[in-house]
Amino acid sequence: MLNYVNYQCKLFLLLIGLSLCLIFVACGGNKRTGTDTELIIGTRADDYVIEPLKSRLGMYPLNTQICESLVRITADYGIEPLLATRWERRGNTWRFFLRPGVVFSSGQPLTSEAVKYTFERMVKGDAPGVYQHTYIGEASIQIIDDLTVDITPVRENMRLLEQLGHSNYSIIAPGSEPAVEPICTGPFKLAEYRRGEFIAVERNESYWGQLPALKRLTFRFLPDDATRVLALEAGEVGMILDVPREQAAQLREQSNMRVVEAPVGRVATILLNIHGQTPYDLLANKDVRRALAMAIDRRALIEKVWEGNGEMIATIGPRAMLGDYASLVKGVPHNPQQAAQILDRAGWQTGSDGVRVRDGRRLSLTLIAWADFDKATLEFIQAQLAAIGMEIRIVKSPDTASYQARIESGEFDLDLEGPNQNDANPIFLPALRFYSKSSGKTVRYFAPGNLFDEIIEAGLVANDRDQVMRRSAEAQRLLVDEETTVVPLAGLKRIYAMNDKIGDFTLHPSLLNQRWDTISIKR
Amino acid sequence: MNINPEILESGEMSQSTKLTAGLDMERRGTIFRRLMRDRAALFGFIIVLIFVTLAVLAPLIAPHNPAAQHLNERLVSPNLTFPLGTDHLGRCQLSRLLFGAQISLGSAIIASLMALGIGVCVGVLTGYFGGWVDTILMRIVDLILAFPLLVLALAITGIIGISMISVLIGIVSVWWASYARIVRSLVLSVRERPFIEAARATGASPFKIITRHVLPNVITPVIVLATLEMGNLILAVAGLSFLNLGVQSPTPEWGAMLNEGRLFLRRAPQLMIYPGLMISLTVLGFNLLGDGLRDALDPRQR
Amino acid sequence: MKRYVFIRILSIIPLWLGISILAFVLSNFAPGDPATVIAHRLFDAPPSEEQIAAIRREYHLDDPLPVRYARWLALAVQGDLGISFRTKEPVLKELTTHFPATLQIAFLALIIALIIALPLGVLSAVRHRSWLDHTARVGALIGASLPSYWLGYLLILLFAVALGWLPVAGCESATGAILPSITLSIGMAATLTRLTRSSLLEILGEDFIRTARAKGLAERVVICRHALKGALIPVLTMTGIAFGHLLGGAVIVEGIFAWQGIGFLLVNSIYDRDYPMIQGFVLFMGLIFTLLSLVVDLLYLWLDPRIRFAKERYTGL
Repeated sequence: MLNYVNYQCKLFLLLIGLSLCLIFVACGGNKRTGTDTELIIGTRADDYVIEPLKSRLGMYPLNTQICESLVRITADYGIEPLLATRWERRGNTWRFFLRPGVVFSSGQPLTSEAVKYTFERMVKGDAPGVYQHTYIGEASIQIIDDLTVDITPVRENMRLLEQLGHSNYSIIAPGSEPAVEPICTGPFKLAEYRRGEFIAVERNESYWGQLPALKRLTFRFLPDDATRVLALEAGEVGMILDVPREQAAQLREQSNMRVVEAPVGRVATILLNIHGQTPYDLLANKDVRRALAMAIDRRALIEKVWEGNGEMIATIGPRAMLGDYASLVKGVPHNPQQAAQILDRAGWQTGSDGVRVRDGRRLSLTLIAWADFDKATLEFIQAQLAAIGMEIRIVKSPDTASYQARIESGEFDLDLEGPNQNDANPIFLPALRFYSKSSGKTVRYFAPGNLFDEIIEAGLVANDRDQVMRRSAEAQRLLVDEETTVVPLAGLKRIYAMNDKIGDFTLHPSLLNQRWDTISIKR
Repeated sequence: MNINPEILESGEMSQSTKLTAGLDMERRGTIFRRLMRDRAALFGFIIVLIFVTLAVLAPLIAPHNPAAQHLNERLVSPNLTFPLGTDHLGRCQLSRLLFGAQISLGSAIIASLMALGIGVCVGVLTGYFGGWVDTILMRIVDLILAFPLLVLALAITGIIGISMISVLIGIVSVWWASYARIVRSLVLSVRERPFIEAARATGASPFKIITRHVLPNVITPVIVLATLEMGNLILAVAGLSFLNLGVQSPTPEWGAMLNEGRLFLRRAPQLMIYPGLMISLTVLGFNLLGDGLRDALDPRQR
Repeated sequence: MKRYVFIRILSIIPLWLGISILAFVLSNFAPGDPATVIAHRLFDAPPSEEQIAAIRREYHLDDPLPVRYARWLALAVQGDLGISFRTKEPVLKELTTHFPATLQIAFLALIIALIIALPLGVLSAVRHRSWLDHTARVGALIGASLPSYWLGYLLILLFAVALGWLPVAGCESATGAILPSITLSIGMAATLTRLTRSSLLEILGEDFIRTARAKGLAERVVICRHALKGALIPVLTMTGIAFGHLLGGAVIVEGIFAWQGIGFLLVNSIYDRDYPMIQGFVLFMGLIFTLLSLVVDLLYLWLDPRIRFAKERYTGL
């Protein structure tokens, strides 16, 4: 009997010992907690592409400031010198004068050779955007001397300067390959990258400008929103990006937390399919479009559903992009009664289940949306439109691939998006999505037509930034007020939450252009 | 708990044999009486009955339209107008839970019936006729049972697309296998009985033998099995919906409601607690009932 | 007996073949033209018609299904399961890097479940119908009814946020494995408790136990020496199978805790329509589970002498 007792005990002890061992075998191993020169930031999923020739590790879509472009985009969408100290334009050729004394983290000096190498690699790797937006081709870069370089796009492009501020066009060291290691000129350099877990950067001691206050920055990839917030509360990270609206309020209540909002960087917009095939052809009719726009109570969306985390806006991009001309775009007023009347007059009778019918056809629309719009927003739109008799079928594709497939096939009526404005080109958004000669694959569903195209073309070739802003505003007025092919819902502000030891810093409306080098930690 | 067919096959006195042995000795009436005396099983039966009734009567008893958004009363605690409070869009939780019962329970029941239907057919065919049909079908069953069912259902659903139908297809195409296995061994044990031999000797057609003699003897254990598995099916349906693979907005469903409640874990924990509670209680009810049924069939098991 | 073992081991091969067919066929249920889907995933910009046609040629998508299967299988056997659409890494590499994390919490969950279930089950059977028995049965039933996704968040709320004892998520910290493992273990602990209890009860009712008692042996000896060994056999086999299910059930739990295991990988692959990954996953896991059940079967065979004799007579499987 005693034998048995010993046997049992032994078995138990063995089990307990085994479990203790397993607990302490960490699957990542690298436990770092921030100190006063190190900051851990919790961000979304790891979306870096690490294919050679296509990789923009450290630059896009998360810009860790390892690299820099020729110019920088300020928080009010202006342009300021960065790697280029000044520039000139003659016809379609832009001449950039590079900053002297700048070195790459490998020790090589910054010369025009680097600019040539950067763009030729992009063209060779068929990097998206390099040709479609900037028209930079194989022979576009010409070295004049070590610190002077000419860029001549293949086609006329008056907007090149504003586009070059995008982190996609960061200058990399000649011969380097970001997929292996990004070697650039920025205030930080790559310390360690673990796919799906984190990317860590450390201070570049040979940086040409002001050194960052922080010695080390680690961006931890925490795709689950709730988990990200919990990590901040538990002190595992010092700051988190993209706080879900729902939790912003609860974080604000905590005394040791600071919650801040960036200025509006993008607008939640519903794009209407006006050139769809049956059964997606209901929105070709302007009455239906207008009624739809009038039925949605945008203020309720912002104040109730989003709990104040948004801004009333009439344009499709940040107002700062349009300067003084933003007021040209008025927006459609919220008036559900009038919406109902419009539909009544157009012959849409309310059926027994509340959905309007005309000539035997139900007023049924299909709504698709970007993955980062939560269910609550979609259900809100659905309920608002149901109130005037429109039946909305939500087709939620949590993955970008099937969303992309669906939108390109035209099998939708309403498309909810929040396109980012990441460069300083005021006419970027209207041209990209609505200009019929744009290379975008979905333009054919959204393009309003000739009148609009003319405005865009005028804007694309305008020399004067003021002119461009005006054209962009006029184009948007056509989209929103006159034709109502687009319904801007609300300006979106990114929410950042951090512990109260983080010093103040300027928030950029565009996450891609957010500067981390100005962040400090109070002692 | 998935009744593991390996244990059945490997020589321990077969549970199925016990079940059918039980049938020889008792009549249905006695079984029912024994069931009613088992308090736990009774409790389970009542729970199940309550939930099914709530689901069926949902349109009549729900105080509000589950899709109606009362934006000025978001996230309120339970009060007179909203007995269980509201969610982040101001929708009445109670109404959503009631209508959600229709989907969560209804889908699980439909999936169960379909999986049973296929499983019983396959099980009877292979058990009674044997031969190459048996070998092939059982290999397929082995194949499917080589996976944890939820994972395979997830993979199938993920590939077909997002909708309640694909969740059902995913679950049914996987769950029938475990039923088929057990029905087959039940049929095998019944097949060797003297009265079946006699029936065959008199020249009755296989169809008649199956429907008149085999099925009736197999049905009761199958019902027990189905009840025991219902809990798992409900968890699977809710689980797939929790992963956003199920219902379309604004249809409520318990698993989907759990997912929505995640983000309000701190502010309004009741958004997560109620749906989870509903799921747990329903599964508990079926488990209790199933246990009781099984014990009633074989009193020695207690 | 030896013949049986031999046949059993050999029967793995047709099973594996079947699994490979299943895995391959699965992705053909996907909606849409495969060439277009692949093209969309591989190129960052919307693909042109020529690119789609090139993909069709490169992947031999016009060949008949059996030919494509054979080609895929040939590659798979050499370890080439294709490239993940989402991460652009080889599928096999992703699976093998993520698998240890799942194994870690599955093992831990198993151990926790055993630590809870074995003593509880034994005591419950021994003190049949006592308050302990009833409590254990009720506890087990409740444990089996809780959805893991619910339990996980409740545990996070309690231990990580309210008490701050354990980290919220992720692999970084050493103690990050505890909460996911506990969440996983509860369901299995419940099942194992009930099984231990009923199995032991059944053995205790057998004749040879009565004989042992009649001989005047102490109750403890009766239980420990004679009954327990027999009772534990079904428990052990159930453990084996349940472990396999744990590996699968980890899917949801890993999502909640941002635990970088294969379940996490699968869910993300499903969201991203990453067909090579889903296919590879089904194949990989299928192989592992069949191996596991083979091991369990053989273990069972070895442990229970009754079966050894039974199987000798029973050659027709």
